[in-house]
Amino acid sequence: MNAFYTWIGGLALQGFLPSDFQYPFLVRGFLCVLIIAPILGGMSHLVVTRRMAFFSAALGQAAITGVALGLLLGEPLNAPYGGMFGFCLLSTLAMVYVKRHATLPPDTLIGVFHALTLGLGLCLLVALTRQFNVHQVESVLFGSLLTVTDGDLLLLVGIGIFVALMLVRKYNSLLLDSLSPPLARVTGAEPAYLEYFFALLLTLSIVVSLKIIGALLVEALVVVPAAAARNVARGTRSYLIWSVAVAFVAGAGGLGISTRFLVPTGGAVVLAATAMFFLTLMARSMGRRGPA
Amino acid sequence: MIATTTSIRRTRVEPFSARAELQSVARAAMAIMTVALMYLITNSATFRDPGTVTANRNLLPFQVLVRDRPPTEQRMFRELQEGLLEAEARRSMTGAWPAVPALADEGIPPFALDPTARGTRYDWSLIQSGTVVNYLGIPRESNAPAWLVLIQEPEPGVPPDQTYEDEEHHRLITGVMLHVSTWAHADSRVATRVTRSPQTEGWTQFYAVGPSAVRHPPR
Repeated sequence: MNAFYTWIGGLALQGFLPSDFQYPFLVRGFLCVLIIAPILGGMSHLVVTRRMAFFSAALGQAAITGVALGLLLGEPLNAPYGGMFGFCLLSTLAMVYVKRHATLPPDTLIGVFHALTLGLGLCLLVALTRQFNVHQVESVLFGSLLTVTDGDLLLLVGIGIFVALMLVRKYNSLLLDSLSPPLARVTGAEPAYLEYFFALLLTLSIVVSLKIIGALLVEALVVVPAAAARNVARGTRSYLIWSVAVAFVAGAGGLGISTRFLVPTGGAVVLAATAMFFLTLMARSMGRRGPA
Repeated sequence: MIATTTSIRRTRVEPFSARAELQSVARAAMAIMTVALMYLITNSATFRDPGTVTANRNLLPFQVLVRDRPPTEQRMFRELQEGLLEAEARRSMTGAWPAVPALADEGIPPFALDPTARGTRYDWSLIQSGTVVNYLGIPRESNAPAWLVLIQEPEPGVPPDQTYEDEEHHRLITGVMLHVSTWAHADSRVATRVTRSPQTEGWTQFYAVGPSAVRHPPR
């Protein structure tokens, strides 16, 4: 990878690319955005349709707890994957199972899990700051391009391909199940299976994006692109395309803002996505006013 | 009137068995726990011989241990630590950071000219902006790295910092806690201006023992 970074850095120094690309961390960040945007953007319209926005928020919090747990169990700061993936995937299974079998409304149950993981995470964080330099932990928990390694990039590529393949394979069933579970069942799909399946895919996508965007903000990137896309899309296909486009533009724009103004990447990406939401909202209202 | 015949397909929809669902969820949970445990066993310091665990595992991509660097960089790092302690002592006494010529006049390395040194010579400068202080060294030869000591003073009016002293936290005798770090940049053509966030400008942070080596006692 070093040869690749040197080559890109050379292009930046010669003026063919923006000067920021002379730094490997920024090249890695841009590659991450290229992969994360289609994944999260592609999932976001299903998240919104299936009303899983709050579920995504709870997963972000669970990821903080997972990282803290992994680090306390001795995982390296650069790769606390065991705790992070393990805890989040188990939390997902538990949330979906309880949601399907309890009589309480889903948002109440997810709220309970949200509170549980957040409380546990806070207690673990106190223990963590006694063992680790707080600045090191901070950048891992809240996301920073500077903490992304080549290993993270490879993992992102691997999970990105896996999630994309699974989504393509089950897309029609997932979409139909999101819109009308009884109809999906009649076509042979099993809504229970699809619910677990999608929740686990979403968990993988969120957790793998964590080091770049941060635990607190990653859920925004699975909700805002779809919300913005919904303002301008005219059909299911354009909904998907707009979601991916908004996520990509927000990712690349946020990256640029973050580097230029030295603000956290996650915050910049989410601000860019939110700005696009309001722009599309304005475009929608102007479009409505126009023909009349 | 045209009569049409439509064949109606009847599908029997049965709810998913709760027992089968629980079994599937339990199996999936077991699989996840097994994989996570395997990862922990192979990567976690808890399950490994302490002798095989390196300090590098807790470094971020822009951080290095000085012992892994060439001797010239190790020497410069040591000199900077010595120079920094001297500068901190003067800061405690006078309330101001000493200028580079003042440190050089007292023979404090690396600011003082060392006639016996065979390495690259550096032009040092003190740059200060608000609570951020930089001692920046730019080499006279382009193939040598630039060096930076970044000192972050507490903002005026903030409560006393209770952080324990370690490699990055130095307490002056006045009680003021400083956040200090040492950086090098492979490309010597760095701008002579205050640097607040060196990692975003391609600088590499140097550690003597690593950021996580100091175990803080419980408060």
